Amino acid sequence: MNKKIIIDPVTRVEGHGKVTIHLDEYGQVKEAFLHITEFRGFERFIQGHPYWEAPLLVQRLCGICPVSHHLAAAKAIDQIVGVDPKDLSPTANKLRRLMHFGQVFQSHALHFFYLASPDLLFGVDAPVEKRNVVAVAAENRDLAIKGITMRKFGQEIIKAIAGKRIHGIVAVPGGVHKTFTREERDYFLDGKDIESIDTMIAWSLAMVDFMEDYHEKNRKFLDEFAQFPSGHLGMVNDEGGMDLYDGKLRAIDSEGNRTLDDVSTDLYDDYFSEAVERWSYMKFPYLKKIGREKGWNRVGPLARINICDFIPTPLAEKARKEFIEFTGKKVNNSTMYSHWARLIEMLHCAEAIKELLHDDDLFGNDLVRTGIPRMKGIGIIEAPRGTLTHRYDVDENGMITRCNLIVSTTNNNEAMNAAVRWVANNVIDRKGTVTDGMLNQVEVAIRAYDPCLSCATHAMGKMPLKIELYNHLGELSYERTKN
Amino acid sequence: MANMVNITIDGKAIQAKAGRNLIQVARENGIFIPSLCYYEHIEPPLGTCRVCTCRINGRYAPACTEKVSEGLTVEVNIPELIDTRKAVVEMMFAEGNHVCPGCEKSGNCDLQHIGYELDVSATRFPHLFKDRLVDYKPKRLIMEHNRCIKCMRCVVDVSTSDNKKVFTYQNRGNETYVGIDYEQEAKLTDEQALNAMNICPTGAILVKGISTPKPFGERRFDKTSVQQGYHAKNSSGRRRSVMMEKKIIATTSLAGCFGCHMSLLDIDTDLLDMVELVSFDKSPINDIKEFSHRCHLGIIEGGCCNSDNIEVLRKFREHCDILVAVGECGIWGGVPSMRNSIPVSECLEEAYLNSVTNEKGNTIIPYHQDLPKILDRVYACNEIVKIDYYIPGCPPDPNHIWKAVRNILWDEDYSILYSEFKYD
Amino acid sequence: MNELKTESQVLLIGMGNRERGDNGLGWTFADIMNSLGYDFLDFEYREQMFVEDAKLISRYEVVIFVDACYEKFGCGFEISRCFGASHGFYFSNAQAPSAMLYLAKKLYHKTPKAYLLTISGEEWEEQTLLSNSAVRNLQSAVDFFDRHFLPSVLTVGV
Repeated sequence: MNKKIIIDPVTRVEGHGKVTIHLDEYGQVKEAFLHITEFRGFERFIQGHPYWEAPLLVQRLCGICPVSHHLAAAKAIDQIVGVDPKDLSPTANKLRRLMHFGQVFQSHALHFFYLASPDLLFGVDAPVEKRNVVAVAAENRDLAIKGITMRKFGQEIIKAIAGKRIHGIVAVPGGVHKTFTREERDYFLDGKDIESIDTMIAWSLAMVDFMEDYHEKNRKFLDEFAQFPSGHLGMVNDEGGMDLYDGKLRAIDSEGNRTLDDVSTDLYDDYFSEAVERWSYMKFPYLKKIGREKGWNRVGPLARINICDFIPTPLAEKARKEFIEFTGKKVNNSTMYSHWARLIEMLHCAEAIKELLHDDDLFGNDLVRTGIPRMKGIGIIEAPRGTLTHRYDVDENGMITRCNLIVSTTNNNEAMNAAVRWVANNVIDRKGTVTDGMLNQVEVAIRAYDPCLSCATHAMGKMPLKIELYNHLGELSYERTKN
Repeated sequence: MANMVNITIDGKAIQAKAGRNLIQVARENGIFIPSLCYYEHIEPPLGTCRVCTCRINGRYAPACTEKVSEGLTVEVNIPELIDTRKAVVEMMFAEGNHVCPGCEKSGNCDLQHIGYELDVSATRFPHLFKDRLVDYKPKRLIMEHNRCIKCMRCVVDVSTSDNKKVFTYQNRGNETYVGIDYEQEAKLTDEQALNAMNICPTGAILVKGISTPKPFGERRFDKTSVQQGYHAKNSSGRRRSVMMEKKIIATTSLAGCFGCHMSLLDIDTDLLDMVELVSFDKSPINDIKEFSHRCHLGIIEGGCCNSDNIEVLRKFREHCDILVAVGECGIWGGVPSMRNSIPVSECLEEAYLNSVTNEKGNTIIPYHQDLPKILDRVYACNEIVKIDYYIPGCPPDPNHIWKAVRNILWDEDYSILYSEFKYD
Repeated sequence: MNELKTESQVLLIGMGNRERGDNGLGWTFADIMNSLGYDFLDFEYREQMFVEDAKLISRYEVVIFVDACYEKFGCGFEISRCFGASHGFYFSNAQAPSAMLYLAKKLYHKTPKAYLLTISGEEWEEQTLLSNSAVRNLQSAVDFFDRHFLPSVLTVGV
């Protein structure tokens, strides 16, 4: 009897997702889908608004990574007033970078400690009661305090620059509207009111060590779980090093060959297309010249580590070198390694924050630059979850006439579906009973991508994950909701 | 001619010069009569907003058009009047499309300010979600009709250098409209245009190219109230009482961005103390996907934009004793409700057919048995189920949320600072 | 402003603008009714209604709004029941009678019985005189109102 497994909602992710896995009468997996069920219509309703409102509005796409949207939109509206990233004043540039590193740091900390840690610490088969941050805190209070404090540090950086932790404002067209003060700088360095940046670096290092240790004990699982070939996409700076704020677009295939060779972000629409499927509100981006089937790319920490030649901060670079050893310096296509990559990036952010905090350019007063206005602005940034693209077209009055948003997690749409199919084929396929632990593994695969599903559909809301089993006649024969 | 008269305001005997404006006299004597369209230099006063309604000699009337005379009896702070003033402000929020999170004037906005001063969290009137024009035709200015409260100040107060009026008052009643004389507007200097933007009490008049002037915390109405004794009591730290019974909370983000949930977590390590007092049932931060217990409190973030949201919201009403709508989205629709004046088909077409990166010739718009249906418009939570409390903000200040929660669950002392009560 | 006569049960509100020809019909009607000296009737004159008028009407059991209109009626006027309506209202300038009733209920929990008397007008130019047809319609309206309408409103469970 054919079945359809439904997981509804996927929990411990941001946003709403629903998984359906179709089995035939032998219990063999025929198809599996990750449905993204939310839609808001952002690209339409922002039309008619003046372009300088964009950074304020678009950050309401997501409450975990509003800064990513704020800065991507800021880069786009900079272009509209004729300012490219290289034209920003040093103060504006560094303040924006500092805020960006702060937010990537807090977002990675949030994902690891609050969302993903239960799976890693208690195992993917752990009972429901244990699979949450409260249980983690109960078992390991010290770890919980570290996690919370690291997130707090990142949030405080954001607050110092944007005025608020979530949905703050700093960017104006061509720059920023507030400078940094010495008191604020000392707040993050002296360790008096909150832990200092050095402590953050030490703790990040400790987390990377924890991950290496975990890797040693669970090597096979990490290597094999949801491992499948794919392209990888991200940004690198002019020297080929990792750059989260600005750079050139680079993509490689699963063997490491360049499929996008350091192209300017302004040309993104020459290279990318998005496909639409009937069963999901989230679109499927891919590289035009390769085509839909193989042209999709993973984005995010794993992809960024795969594509870059080096990381410009020393401790993170050392960690990266150790990381790539495990695949013999070749491309890493194993989904679970994302968690490790994420922690390396967290370390990188901490180091970068420290560097910036010691840079007196932060206190400058040259905040805004102007240029020759243009009718189109494109801003691409490496958000915690991957490459984020904002594009606005305006008329001569400054009114937005068109808007295109390719959000990080959208790039990972195909990858997440591939991960779900992998788990379906390797864990659920032809097993007599489908257990709760098996269903959780589907979610574990999705969670590794740290999806931000609200962002991805330009809609707010969450997508429930429900596993439904339909037989080959399309009849619902089995329904299991994870509880 | 220093003709002094005797009047009473809220029982307080006051002496003032005859013919002086009542609002002025009240303020000088420490009594705050809220007002929105009243400006000292405009005589006669505009009298359009009616926020300053008081009981004057037994009748409800605006205070701004009243000149003091002998024996004038004024009552300001009667409960019914306090509520009437709140209702007038709530009407303004329901009539226009006031999206504080996306507005350049936020923090410097008189309408927002009076909302804070009067403790307006939610509006009792249904939002109209009318499609309003954003007029880019003027040379320097933009008229944002979503935000215009028709106070008429610009009509009176803005002129060109040769004294010609720039703004005009058109139509009557529900169709009242503040129009612009494009010819005259073109004659405004840069300074005069900026002045027009500054004198408008909301963000309805904008100068092209000027974005947000100041960061959070440094805007006019961010930190302190104009009323003495506003929420004067400071929260005096946590009072852990051994009698505090552990409570069960469920949370959900419907059509929300998860920002309110993130704000919940923004109490940082205090969270570890909180989890001794509350346990979470259905919530996105754990793996409980269906209700397993009856809950004392349900925290709802986000409004309803698809059929799934409605289902979840109704389940919450069924399983929770008390429901709290947190954030602008849950309270009245928020940023997602900006699509309410646009047909759903247009939003879908824009995303899936007309987008820059869409494949040529693509005709697919998502529609599937496993996808929930998108509603015709975004609904606030209280349009679907009864909501017991509202906590405004985008996202609300974490202290505001937790103080409210603690008050609801354990009757703890509840006082929110002015700086914690914000709409953006 | 005068103190309200608390014994009155019926409020008659003349609406309009005396400076614009037949737009002054409402006020003139109120003048005439006022001169008849009924002590159960209170009178108010308004060019436009504001939110505080919701409080005013909430104190009465019956409220009659009188205004000029463009429509032509066989007898020159029309009396209809008026109910509260919530949509499309705007709070200050020229609130419609239906909006006033909605607010009276919403804010003060009172539902006075309300009527709208509209008298046909013809000329709306800036002047203080009523047109001839307006005067005729006014006479009919006063006549009907005084002899038939008022007695019926007062006797039926006011």
